[in-house]
Amino acid sequence: MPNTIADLNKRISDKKCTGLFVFYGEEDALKTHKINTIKKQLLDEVTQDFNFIKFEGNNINTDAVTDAFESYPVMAEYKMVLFKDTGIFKSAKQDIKTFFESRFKDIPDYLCVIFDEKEIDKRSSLYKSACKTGMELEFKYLTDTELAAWVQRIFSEHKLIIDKKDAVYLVNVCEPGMNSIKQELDKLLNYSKDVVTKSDIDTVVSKSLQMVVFDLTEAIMQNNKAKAFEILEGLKTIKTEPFKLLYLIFSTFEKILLAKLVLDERGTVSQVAARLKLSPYIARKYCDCSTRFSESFLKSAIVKCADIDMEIKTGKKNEWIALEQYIIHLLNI
Amino acid sequence: MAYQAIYRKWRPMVFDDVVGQTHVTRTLKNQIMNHKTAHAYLFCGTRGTGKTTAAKIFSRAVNCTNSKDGNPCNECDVCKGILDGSVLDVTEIDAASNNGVDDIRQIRDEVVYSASVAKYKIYIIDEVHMLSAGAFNALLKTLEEPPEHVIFILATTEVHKLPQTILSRCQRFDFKRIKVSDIVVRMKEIAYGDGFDVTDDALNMIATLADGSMRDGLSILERCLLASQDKLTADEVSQIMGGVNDDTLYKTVQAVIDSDTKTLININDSLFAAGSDMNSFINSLIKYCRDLMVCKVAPDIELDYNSDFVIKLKRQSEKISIEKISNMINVLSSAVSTAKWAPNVKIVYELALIKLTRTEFDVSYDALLDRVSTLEQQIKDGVTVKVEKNESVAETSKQPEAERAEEKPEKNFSVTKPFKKGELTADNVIVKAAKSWAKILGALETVPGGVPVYAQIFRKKITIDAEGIVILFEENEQTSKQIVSLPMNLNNIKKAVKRVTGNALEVKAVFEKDVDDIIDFNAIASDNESANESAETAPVKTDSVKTDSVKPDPAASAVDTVPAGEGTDAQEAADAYEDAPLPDVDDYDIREDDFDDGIDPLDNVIARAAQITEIEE
Repeated sequence: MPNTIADLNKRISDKKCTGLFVFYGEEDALKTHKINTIKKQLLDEVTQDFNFIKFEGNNINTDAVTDAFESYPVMAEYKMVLFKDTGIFKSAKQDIKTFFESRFKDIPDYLCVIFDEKEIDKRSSLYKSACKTGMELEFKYLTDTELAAWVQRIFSEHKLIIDKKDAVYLVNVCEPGMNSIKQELDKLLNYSKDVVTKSDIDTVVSKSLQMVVFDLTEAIMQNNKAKAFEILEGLKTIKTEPFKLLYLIFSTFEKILLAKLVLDERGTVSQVAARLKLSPYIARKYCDCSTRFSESFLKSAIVKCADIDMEIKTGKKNEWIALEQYIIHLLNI
Repeated sequence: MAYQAIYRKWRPMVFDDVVGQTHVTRTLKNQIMNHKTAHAYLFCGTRGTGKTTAAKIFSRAVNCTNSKDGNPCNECDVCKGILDGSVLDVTEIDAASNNGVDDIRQIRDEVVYSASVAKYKIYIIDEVHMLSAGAFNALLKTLEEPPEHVIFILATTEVHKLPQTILSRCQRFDFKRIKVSDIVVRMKEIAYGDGFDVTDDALNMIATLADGSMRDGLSILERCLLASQDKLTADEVSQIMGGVNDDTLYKTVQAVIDSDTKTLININDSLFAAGSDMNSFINSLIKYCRDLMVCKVAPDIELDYNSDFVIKLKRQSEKISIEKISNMINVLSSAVSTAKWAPNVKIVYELALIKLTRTEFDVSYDALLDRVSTLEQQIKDGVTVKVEKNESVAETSKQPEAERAEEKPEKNFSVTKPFKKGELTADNVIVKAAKSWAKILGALETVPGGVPVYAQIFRKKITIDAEGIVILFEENEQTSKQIVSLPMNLNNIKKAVKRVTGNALEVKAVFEKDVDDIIDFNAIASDNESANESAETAPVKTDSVKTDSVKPDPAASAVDTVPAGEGTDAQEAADAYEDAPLPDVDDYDIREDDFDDGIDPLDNVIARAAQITEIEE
């Protein structure tokens, strides 16, 4: 049974933060936040310089690690050792492995050891032995609802109001990860007055390319030519690579088609989300789209994408001209 | 003070002067007022949208001891020091020229020291996308957790070149293209401030040329101001900036719409003669087509032309179908790619342009679509039949009668060859030979093997053409004509002709109905005066051949002069001619009938549509 964030929170509130922790996953912001919470609990600011030791990267000096593990805290109760991006749970030399395996078995009471990793290999023996003695925890991207609640909480702390719907929208237009959402939040906090509206979000937030492309497909679907070209023009201005754009258009149509096929077999929106590995918010959008496009239209749009790719790569057409022609073609069907 | 370019002289000093980026300036100002600045910023946007300016203002505002509403005061010691460069806490780095790892390491070593005078140490790294991969990695560490007294501002035009790791560590601000109206307002302020007199039209035109970039706009303004005398007008701007180009494109497309190949070739030639780069011309033509296409599907979208031209463009877009534009783009694009390898670029482009006006030569899918859509349009609007033929008839009737009479024989060059003007005199060897036809026939009897052919032709009418003698047959005399036409028999006749006249002349056997203008050689006067007269009025013709022309009459051949009233009068001949129906008019009637039925174009469309569905399937 894998540990959850709630388990970690419980340990923090119970003040049982010594021992071994292995944190991994893509949500860096949350990871950093939890590590800082633990650090704050165990160490005081004055003696932090002596009692907090950080190792970074895959060049690990085993002697230094031994020193860190074996020396007592200086003028404090606890001591903390942080390993960042070592990669030892993915691939490590044999001597490093045996070194850490023996270390894991014998962690003193005053010591807190945290591994902050990007990726791990769950089959590795080192990981298994770490799990036995310590706590492993995966930090996944939070769900839309969790993130929206988080956003709403932050805004209310700054005496700003945001509608739940808009909060979900904000969370989805940003690049994934709380770090990037946080950056955009900061901008909004300093831009909006009293109420954060959707138009505020549209003006201030730097949208992810994926979302912009989705807006484009939506404009195509509504046959809103002016909007489609405005978006395209915007992308051209910021010098988006045409191939990236073409790929995203392709994958958007592909996903809409897949959503349509799932729905046709009486699937649900959540099944679509699971199948396409999308957040429910985005999956719902694709599903809405799929009812409005015909299957043959989607297929022809996808095939035409490949044709255009060919035309560009054989030098028959300028990239942007070809893309624009393609969009016009779609708008005129 | 030395002369300073307008865009430098008028670089905004406070956030409120930055045009068209309120979403950025408002946020930054609030951050400064609330003391909640981020540790790394990323400013991205196209050139001339205010990235560096905003970074410079920010560097002062955040350090200003006396800042008002988040704007720098520009008067306190720190502001002044930053402005004149005496305060070293603000460092501007051009990443384009300092793109190595060492340059970044230097920053890394410096950041540990706190600011000397100001509150924050600020690094403005311009064109940050130019950093090398190693430099980016070196920067990463510093960017992630910089000391509290350091702020990084990265500015770039090409944000997609930055690694994701950098992007996620910065607060990103997107600078938008500046609207034309915003540029105009700012330029007005500047023109007023510097005491220049510029009309609103001129400002509008410059603002559209600026393409969303304030710096471009101001540079253009400066160029125009330097070139103009006192008041800067829109006309002057277009003269200085060479607005002719758009007009050429307009004309080119118009020629394609009108299927006017000649104009197209002329445009192409004149451009080539003027030494223009044909590649860039065709590329801008493609761009123009794209604008037409955009204009057609989304008329509300803003295009980078001045307002007058946009109206022209819109009007033109109404006249052309989307299929035609699409076909144009395809043909031109493939011409551009062919031209890369072609030794003579001009010919490639000329061919492409001709292809556009003559879509019937092109069997590609797009060309067919284009043609079908043209036909659809024609069915919808009706067809204007050009009555060019009628005009030409009217023109010919205005010409002197004699000239027309001369033009006539050219019609039948296939059977007989007409005489040139002035050739047809009594002194002409052919005329002489024809007059002595009876003698020739006599001679033919004596030529070996000449008797059988003599039997076929001795009662036949003859006439002449520029090459020699023409023997005329009735329609029912198919067999005799065939016999005479045998090379052997024709040779025998030629021998006889040579024996009598001493000249080698051509002999032809033709049906009488195939010859329109049977020349009455007997009517050609032998004395000089009448010869001149007939030469002036060109070949003498008769409308009824059978009566007047030309029986081999021994008596006639003996007499050189022509009997009076035999139609030598030019006026008479011309009159007779006018009575005859004009074949041109006939043609025209037939054409009109065709269109009256309306069947032809419709059938075409159906056939083509069927063809296209086949292709699609």
